[in-house]
Formats: sequence, structure tokens, C-alpha cells
Amino acid sequence: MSVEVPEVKEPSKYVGFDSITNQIESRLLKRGFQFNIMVVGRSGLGKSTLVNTLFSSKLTESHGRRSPTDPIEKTTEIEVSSHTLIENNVRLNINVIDTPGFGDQINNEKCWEPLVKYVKEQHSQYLRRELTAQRERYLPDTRVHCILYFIAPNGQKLRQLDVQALKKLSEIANVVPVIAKSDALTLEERSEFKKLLQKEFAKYKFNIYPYDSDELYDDERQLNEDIKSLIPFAIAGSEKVVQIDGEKTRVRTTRWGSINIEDVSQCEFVFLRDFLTRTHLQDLIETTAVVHYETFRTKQLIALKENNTNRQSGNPIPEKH
Amino acid sequence: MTRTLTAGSTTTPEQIRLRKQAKRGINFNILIAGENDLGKKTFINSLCDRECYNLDKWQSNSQAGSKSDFSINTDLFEYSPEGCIPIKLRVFLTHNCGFSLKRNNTPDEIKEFIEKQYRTVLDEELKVNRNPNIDDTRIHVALYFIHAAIKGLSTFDICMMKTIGERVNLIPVIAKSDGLTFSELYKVKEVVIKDITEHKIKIFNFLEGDDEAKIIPELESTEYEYLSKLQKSIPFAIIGSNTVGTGKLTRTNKAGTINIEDETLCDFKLVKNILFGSHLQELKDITVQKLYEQFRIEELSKG
Repeated sequence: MSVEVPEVKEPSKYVGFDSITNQIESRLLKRGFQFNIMVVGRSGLGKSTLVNTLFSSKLTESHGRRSPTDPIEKTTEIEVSSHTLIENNVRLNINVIDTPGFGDQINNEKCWEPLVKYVKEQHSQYLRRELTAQRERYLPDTRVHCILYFIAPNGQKLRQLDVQALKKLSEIANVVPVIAKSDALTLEERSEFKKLLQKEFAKYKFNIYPYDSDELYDDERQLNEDIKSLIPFAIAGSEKVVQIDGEKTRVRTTRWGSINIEDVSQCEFVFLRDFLTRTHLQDLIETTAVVHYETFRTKQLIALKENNTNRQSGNPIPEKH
Repeated sequence: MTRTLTAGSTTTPEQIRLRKQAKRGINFNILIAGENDLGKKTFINSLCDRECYNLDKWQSNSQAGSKSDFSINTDLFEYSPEGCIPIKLRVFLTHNCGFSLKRNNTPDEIKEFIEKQYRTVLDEELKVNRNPNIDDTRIHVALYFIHAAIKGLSTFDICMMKTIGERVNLIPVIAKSDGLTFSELYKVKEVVIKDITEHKIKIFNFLEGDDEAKIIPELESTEYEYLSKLQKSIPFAIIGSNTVGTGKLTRTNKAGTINIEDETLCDFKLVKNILFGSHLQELKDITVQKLYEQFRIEELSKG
């Protein structure tokens, strides 16, 4: 049975409905956009600095140290800080989700569980709001759109911790792995390490963002292929601004000299920034809703249905995680 | 072959003694502990200015056998610079320290290892027919390699350092400090000292005399200055050399060259002078006279 495709006609005289894109835009500008980004990695890898550098604003602060009164076995914490950035009338509401304590405990066996729980909770909250009879017009979106996973630049294979965490996290959200503090490596070491990591990702079959989709245009698909060959991005961050040739640039100065963060021959910060904010920001948000949230929603609704039929037929309700 | 001392001979009794001493060498046992990839082997290579450890990266990670199990490897190296008595360096190096997900046992395992060296000496001492020339493997100093983080010490590091510091002279060092800017290094040192104080980790104190009395500032002012400088520089920032054996201890890559013996760039020289120079004998003495005695009392009171 063939579906009838309506014939595409061009109006003989200009109607003007093409301005709907502008109408949508002005509506969206008023509302602002919501972007929730989670940073994951052991302490000392420059997570806070990178987030501040990415958005050129002081969004997070490296938080407190362990105090002697803390219990020896802590769990990874979740710290959310909300900010509103405005650029050319476009308002971006950002939630930066920090994960202090990840990978720093003596026993790291379950250190990713609080993260997984948080991501699922946001989906769960959104679902509940969606299913409420009288629901808000615009549901507040706290779902995690992007997880920046920081890998230490030691040139070795992925640690057990990274393998487990990446596996669990890439199943439920868009994961963008980065090589932290890549200025510690020479350019050769960096490309060797990247190739090694790409092999590891393939070996463990992580579902690393960006994803393939039938809906992509050819040039979008090409862009994704290019991005995939770059991932994981080798980055360095700096909050120190210096004037070079009259331009404000961010540099990182160690005993080796200065590197210009924004120089793509020295580090891939610019690629990451463009990827996250200039090319894939919309896709990150959309994929979270359309892929990850949908998967969660489907599972939950099927489970709900099963529970209901079980209750009706007097069967014991099976445990669903 | 008889040696006769005749008038005009160039061999003096003192020279004979020195020659005998040089032949025997000085024993020095050092524990190098810390997580993987912090430059522990590079440090030993830099210390002895030769390739004691082969650092082929791709090999070290695919060693057959237990890939992520914690172990301590023992190696013997000789450090014999011109005009000095050679040092017979016994290096205990941790392998896969803190590498596995569940590392609750690692502090206990290291404690057992340290105590085993003490116990070997104690057991021999208590024998009727004892061997006075048994190899003394008691650890004279432990260097703990800290992964630099502005947030301070990780739980694991705190636990490890507490355990080690109870039984051995502990000196904390900041690994791979060439990756830090000067202001970051300052912050890291500050926060590590805070953590060490707050968590009551026992580290080696340069300003404490043999009998725990603080060294009086008025006496021997240059020595006091030197010791203060050392005490203020804790934890020591280390950079490892990748040009050992070439005459200059430097670290080079495409960006340039750093002379790791330059005291304005890192504390490597300070550490080398402590270990092989000013504090070698003191570290040994404290181990034998204080730490071993402490262990001995505890062990014998148990029975």
C-alpha cells in the first residue's frame, strides 16, 4: 500500500507564511532556552575551570575540601548551580551539575550510582509533570542534556572506573568524553592517546554522542563524522585573560611557557566550545528529549501498565528498577 | 698481598678506611608510593641519573598476569657519583596502587609490607644464633606521590599517608608539577598542608631534632635557615627528567626544555639533597632508633 505524498505546490503569489520561523524565534527568545550540563571526573582535572571557560563566565567554584569530620565513606554528591546568560537577546538558562567526590573515595565501586540516579530522577520528574491532568504550560526541564566526562591524560588504557562509569552513563544521557589537562601531553602523545581511547570506546561499545539518525542532512552527517574523529576532545582551560595583540585571549602559563587556549593548534577547546554551543546545542537538548527521555518513558509506562494488570488479576507486583 | 706503610707512601690509614667504606657502600631503603602514572619510576631514574627503570609505556600496561592487582616491587640500584661513597639504594615501588575500584585493602597491605621489614629484623634479633649481616630492609623513608588537585588530598591519599606515616618517615611530594601554573602550585601546597594538619597525618618534620626538641633558631643559623626552607617547601613539587644519563637533568618536549635541578622551577634538587645528602643518615637513624623501637615494643608487648 503506498502512502499518498501530497504534491508540493508553490503559491502563485507570495503568501508570507515563511515568516513562521521568525514568529517561533521571537516566542522562543522570550521564553529563553534551558541547558543542563553535568561534569564528571575525579578532582584535579579542571572541570570547574573548563565550564567557566566554555561559557566565558564564572559559573562554578571549586568547592570545599574534605573536612576531618566527614565520614570516611562518602558518596558522590550532586551540586546544581543555576545561571542565566544573555547574548544578543538570547537568554540561556544553564544548570551546571557538579559531581564532587566522584572517583575520590577509597571504594569507588558504586560512585556513578548517584549520577545515574540523578539523571533518572529528572526524567521521572518530567514524566510525572507530563502525566498530571492539570499541567503547566511549559514544563521546567531539568533533564541532563549533556555529560562532560573527564579522562586523565596519562596515556594509558581506560581505568576500570572510567569503563564502568562511561558504560552506565552513555546508556542514559548524551556523553561527551574529553581529555582533561591535555597541555600535559605532547602533540604526538595526544593523538596516540586519542586513537587508543577511540579503540577502547569501540571495544566496550559505548554509545558516545553524536548519534546517527535518518533525519540528518548530508552535511550534518558529515559534520558528525568529523566530530566523531575528534572525540575525545583534548582540552585545557584557563580563567586567566591576557592581552595579545590587542585581543583578549585566555592563556595557561606553566614552566613550559604559555599556551593560548583558543589556538586550535595547541588545544581543542575551541572545537569543544563550538560543538557544544554553536553547532550541537539544539541537538543535545532535542536528543535528550527524543531519545533518552523517550526510552525512559517507554520503560516506565510499560511497567506501570504491567503493574496495573497484575493488580487487577491479583498477581504480585514484580520489582522493577 | 701485604701492604706496608713506608715513608713517602701515598696510602694513609684514613684512605684505607675510606676505601673499605666505599666498597661496603651505604644502604638506603626507600618506599615510593602513589597511584599509577605519577612519575614514580621517572623520579628514581632522575635521582640516580640513569635509566634504572625502563619506561616503555605501551609495555608496562600490558604485562601478563594480574593487571590491576596491587603489589610492591623491590629493586636494587647503586648510586655512585664522583668523590662520594656509593649508595646502595633499595627501592620499594608500588604497582597499581589505588588502581582497582575497591581499594579498601591497600592501606592494610602497605602497612603489612612495612611491618614485615621490621619483623624480619626483630625475628633475627631474637634468635640465639643470629646472623648479624642480614640484609636490613627496614624502610628509611617513604615518598608519597600526590596527584595535584586544588581541592586537596583525596580520601584514598589521606588514608594511605596516615597509615604509612605511623611507621615510616613520610615525605609528601606533588607529582608532575610541571603541569601546574605557579599560582596553582602555591594553592595546592597550601591545601595539602591544611589537609595534613587537619587529618593529623604524621609527616617528617625537618625542624624537629633527634629527641623531638625543636631546633633552636639561635644556634647554627645557616643550618636553621636550610631546615626552615625545607620545612616551608613541603609538599615538594617534583618534575621528572626525560634526559637521564646525558649529563644534564632536564625535561624536554616540543615546547622547550626545563632544567629540573633549577630550584626556582621545582623542588627536585631539594629532595635529592635531603635523600642523598643532608638527611640520609638522620632518616636511617630515626628509623632504627625510634620507629623500629616503637614497633618492637608493640610487637613484644603483644606476646
